[in-house]
Amino acid sequence: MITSSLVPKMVNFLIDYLTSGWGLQFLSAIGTSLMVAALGFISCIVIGILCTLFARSGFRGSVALVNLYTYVFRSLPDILLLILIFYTLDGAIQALLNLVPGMSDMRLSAYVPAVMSTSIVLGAYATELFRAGWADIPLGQHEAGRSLGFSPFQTLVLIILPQVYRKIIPHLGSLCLISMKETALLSIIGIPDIVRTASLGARSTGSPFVFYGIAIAIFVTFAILCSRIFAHLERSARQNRAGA
Amino acid sequence: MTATACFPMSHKETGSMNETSHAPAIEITGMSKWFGSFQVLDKIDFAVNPGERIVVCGPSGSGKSTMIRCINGLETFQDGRITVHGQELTQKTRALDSVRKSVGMVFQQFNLFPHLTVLENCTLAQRWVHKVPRTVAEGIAMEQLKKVRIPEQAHKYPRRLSGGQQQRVAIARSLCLRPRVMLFDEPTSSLDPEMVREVLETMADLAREGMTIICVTHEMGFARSIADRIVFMDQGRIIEEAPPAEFFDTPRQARTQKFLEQVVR
Repeated sequence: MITSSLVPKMVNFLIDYLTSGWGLQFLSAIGTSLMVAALGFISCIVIGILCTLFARSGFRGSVALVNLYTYVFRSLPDILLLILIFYTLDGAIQALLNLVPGMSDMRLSAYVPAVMSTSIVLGAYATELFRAGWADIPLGQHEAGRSLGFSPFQTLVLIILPQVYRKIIPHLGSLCLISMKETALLSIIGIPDIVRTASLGARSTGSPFVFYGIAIAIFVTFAILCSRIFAHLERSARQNRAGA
Repeated sequence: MTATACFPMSHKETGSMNETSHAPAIEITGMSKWFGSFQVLDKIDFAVNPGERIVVCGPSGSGKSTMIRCINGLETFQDGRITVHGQELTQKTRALDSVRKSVGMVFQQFNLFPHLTVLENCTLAQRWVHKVPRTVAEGIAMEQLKKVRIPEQAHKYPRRLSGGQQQRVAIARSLCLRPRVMLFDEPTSSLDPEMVREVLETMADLAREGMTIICVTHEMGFARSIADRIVFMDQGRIIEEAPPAEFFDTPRQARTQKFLEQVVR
């Protein structure tokens, strides 16, 4: 009985809520956060792969350089890096542009430092992850690839990366979650992400529980979806490895 | 060593008759290699004719694996030269690609790709390196899997196979690329004793068909029945080269005699 009267009430509330404007704002905030998280996640994986390749390239100092990168950016608070990039990148680009005569001013979108800082920090974690996964692949796999005539790039894409991927999927899932959580930082540089929208709503309507509750619900939903997806990926990869 | 009687080879009759070219399939001249300051190969001179079956043996650390790994460019060497079917082997990509297209390699640890099925293992290089359409590649793969007698395992993953089966898949995977020379680097050394025979039989089949083979192995029985020539290496040098009968019955070098005393009981 309680539930039957509760459901229409909730539906009414949601309709009111959506038409009052905050629903659309939240939708666009989710879009913003998801976009930054996705860009950050994809580029941190690219950074991880490139840094691992560089560390394994045998160039003098490459290992030390990659180690330095992962140490520094795993120890720095993300917020520090974000603010640093936010306040310096724009100025640096302006200064560079001023060197070229006839160039007009160019303002950088706040999304650039946002994606950059997320990628750089998560890239450090991803690098460690890929290096560990890579170290598990026997040398013989590379040799088999080479002896069958695969180019180094083909060996990488067809033979090595699929195996590294299978070893690190669970960790990639956590990385994906963290990249979503990192978007909460965007609010401090004025990007209308989920947290900023929630806090604006809370302040202007005076009902913090509703607005922060919605933000929490969005993050938890994302986490559940994310873990579902990665659990599925892990299962299919394990099936693959065990064979039928 | 136990397999001496198991390979009723008729290679004396089939021999190298199907080969028309008299140029050596592989020619190594004055090849030397160092790992840092340690010399692993010392002025190796060695030629293999088309259709010839060579077994390379010697104590561990004698450089035999390193030598055959040089032939398809898995190892670099500092001095001397190798030609494969007249093509000089350099570290240039084009030379390496062309040599690897004609030289197949089978490893001690099989090195199958664990994320792919047996069939995919056999079609991957055909499709991506030789640009063979999928259906054609699968046809060729099944043909080779039949040849190594495991077509029924085509859709399994390597993990589900025994060591001997995995090694036979590795042989089939190489054969799919239609190599003119097969290199075997201790193909039975990491197998359980009961698996050794099936792999050696597969190799004997290949030998019977006139494939040029260079095989590093400790299976002296196999060497005796299959090889046209046995090459004995020690400390990075070729100490003795002889047909099996001569090698086993009247070895000339003291080091060969000592080795055979230890190996052939």
